[in-house]
Amino acid sequence: MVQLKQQLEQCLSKFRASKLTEQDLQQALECVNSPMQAEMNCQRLLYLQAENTLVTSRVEGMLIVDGDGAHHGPNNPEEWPYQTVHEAMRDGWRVIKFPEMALMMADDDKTYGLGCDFILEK
Amino acid sequence: MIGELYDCESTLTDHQVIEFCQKGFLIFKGVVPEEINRRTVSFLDKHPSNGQPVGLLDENWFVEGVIKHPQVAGAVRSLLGKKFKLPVYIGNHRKQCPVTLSCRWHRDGGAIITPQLNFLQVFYYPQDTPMEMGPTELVPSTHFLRGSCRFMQHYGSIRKAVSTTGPAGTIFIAHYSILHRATTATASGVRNLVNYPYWRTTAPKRDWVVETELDFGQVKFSPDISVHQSDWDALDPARMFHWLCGLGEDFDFKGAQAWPIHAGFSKLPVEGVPPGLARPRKIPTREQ
Repeated sequence: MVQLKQQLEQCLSKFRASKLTEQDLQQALECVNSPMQAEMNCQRLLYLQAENTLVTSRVEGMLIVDGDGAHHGPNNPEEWPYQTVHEAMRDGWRVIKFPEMALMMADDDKTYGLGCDFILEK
Repeated sequence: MIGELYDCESTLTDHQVIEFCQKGFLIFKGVVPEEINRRTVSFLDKHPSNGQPVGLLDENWFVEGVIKHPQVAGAVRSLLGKKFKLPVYIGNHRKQCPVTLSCRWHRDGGAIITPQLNFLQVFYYPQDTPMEMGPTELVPSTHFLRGSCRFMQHYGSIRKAVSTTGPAGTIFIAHYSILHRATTATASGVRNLVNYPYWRTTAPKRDWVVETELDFGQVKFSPDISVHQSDWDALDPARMFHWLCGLGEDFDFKGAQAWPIHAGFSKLPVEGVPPGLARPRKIPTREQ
């Protein structure tokens, strides 16, 4: 996105100086379709398994998916980018899936899946 | 040897059997002698493409040194009872490192959630296996985790996961239903992980190393590391222990702070200890 903006700013400057060429516009167009731009446009997902349904509860598991695929967090959980769902929200991640509330129907002594699954996106 | 029935001395105490019920695995680090490790690696190097090195089960030195290793077989004897069945199968997860593995968290096919314990999967590292050699990771207490693995494929790093790193000769015994995965290996070299199963053939009975003075009202059944709801996480391990003692799959849980929920958290008496596990009440003598 930054590269495209710079390209357009250069085009504008050249236009004002009556030096804009077809090649300048072609380069700007190529920026729109560049791999970097595709990466910028790709939706990123953040899977966080929290201890309970409260967004400030501790994260027990994590996985990030971006244009390159799925990525685990560091081996040391203390080095994970977010220790709570709330920390991720404060960093611009938006919750798109709340933990499955139908699991409330399960007995307390039976656990289905690891913690409470939040899915966030950027 | 394949599939023969075997008996040996039990080596696990009540507390260690309970530990297995809580965690779903036990690790024995570096217990196999170096000579056996060396011979195993040599055998596997000679049969590198064979993911099922069944010839190992015909080697007496391997059967005696690994399959019937006194400490490990004694643990299997404790959990599966007398005359347990020796392996009818052997596999090897052999990796040429470094390697990035895409193996996701899973439990193996056929895994069921039950208080019964009729089968054990045993894993043996014949070479040093630090983190850099891609050891298997396990999540304690997940042998009681419900749900289809198809709905767990988005799990990545798990805080409570435990790595099975260890020196050559490390063996771990795992409940078949435990959630596990392979990990990425960053070092160079070959990593073998030999695995083989044992089966129960007799009814469960508390015939391991019994701690005669043990008061089960004072023993903690809630796991130290658990993915389950706190307090409630004592129930499944207690049910499994109850079954292993030959007392049936379930007991009359009275709710609230009754056994096993608050067992082991204070010195105060706990209500609801199952009759089969309750200590005989001492009748005061006249002198008392």
